[in-house]
Amino acid sequence: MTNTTSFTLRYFPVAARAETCKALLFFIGAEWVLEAPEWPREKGAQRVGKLPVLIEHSASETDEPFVLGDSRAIEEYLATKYSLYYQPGDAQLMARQRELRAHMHDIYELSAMIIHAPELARPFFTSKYLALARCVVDTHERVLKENGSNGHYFGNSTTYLDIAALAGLLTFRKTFAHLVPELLVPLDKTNAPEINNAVEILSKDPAFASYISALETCSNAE
Amino acid sequence: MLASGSSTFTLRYFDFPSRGEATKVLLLLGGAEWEHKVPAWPQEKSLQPVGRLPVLIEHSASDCDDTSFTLSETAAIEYYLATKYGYIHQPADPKCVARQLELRAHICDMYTAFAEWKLGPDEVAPKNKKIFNTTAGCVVRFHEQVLKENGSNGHYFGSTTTLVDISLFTNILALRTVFSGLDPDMLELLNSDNAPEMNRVIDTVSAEPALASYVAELTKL
Repeated sequence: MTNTTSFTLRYFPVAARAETCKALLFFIGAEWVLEAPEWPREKGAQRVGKLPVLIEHSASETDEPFVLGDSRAIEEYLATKYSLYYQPGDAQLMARQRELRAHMHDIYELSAMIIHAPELARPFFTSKYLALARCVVDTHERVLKENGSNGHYFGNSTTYLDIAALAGLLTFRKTFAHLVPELLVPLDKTNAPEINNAVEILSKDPAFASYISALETCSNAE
Repeated sequence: MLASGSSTFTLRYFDFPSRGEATKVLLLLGGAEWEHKVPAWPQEKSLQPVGRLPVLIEHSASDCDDTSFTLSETAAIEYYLATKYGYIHQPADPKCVARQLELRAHICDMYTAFAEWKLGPDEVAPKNKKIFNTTAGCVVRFHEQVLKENGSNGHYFGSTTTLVDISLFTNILALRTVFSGLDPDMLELLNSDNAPEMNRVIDTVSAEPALASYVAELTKL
């Protein structure tokens, strides 16, 4: 089948909120480019002044491009379009997958608050992060174990959740190793063996080689 | 698969209007049999899936046994109920669904920005106030245009209430109920002069017959 669409992903030239979007685009083998708008000069040209923004270009010259903002909506769109949800006909299983993805998102958001907070406010956000991370890790470890510790959250092939976990953990390691190392502790091999095992298995998949290579050369979010 | 009519729900949430409101409205509009339980907090925090609320529990009775499905995270809960009760516009169209999720995310981000400003540490209050004002300004401009393009009929999509309408209704009313007493001017960006279309949505959803008691209770607070 001819691939009739291509994508532009607009985001800052750092490893941050758009990593799962990038990993999805690499994994599905889409034709896509990363575009870093000049900031803040081009902020007003984005949908609500925020990034990432995904632009889907149709092969047809008469079709308008489809422009979508918000990392969560972008991920949902790509995961649905490229059949990366596990058993999409099962409403409860779909909800479970969205729930687990939201857990990862919440941890990320708290980590971003810690990085950007003034020194005096960091303990406030750090204690919230550590409490949430422990609960999330417990839940995700159980799900991965119940699926047979095979490197996947559900079934035995790579789905959206797996991709989000890979992108999330690799980005955390890259970003926090030098900024706030204590944030990695709940997610290390001792405290999260199943998650780390899953990411290790997924990292060996040739479909992620380009993503991992791109992440290694990407600047850290400051 | 069990028929949806055989499910009942428990919503675990606090007893003040906040992130659980859209779930309540979806359950009311869906005609579900449900109850609101307020966990003792923080004593029962560790009993929740990730120590947070809201939590939705769906109890299903089949011929064989009683089963329950427990779900956390407002986005997952709302999408599940909206799909179950038909409050997603054109659910078979991935682009339309993505657009609805994007708009819902804007509204929730605006709510979060406001809550972080008012409830976060004092050290970050000035920065968070600026973030809220910037976020709200951009969201209002964008959403006012979307609503005009849908015909200024009090709905984001089509001509009936859907998830984004519910999200706006509940998030804005929660902000006004909980925070307006502290500083009436703080939500000026979202008043009917500055956001007429968004306020039309709020009025339209408020008029849903299934929400009459809910709106009356909220107005009392």
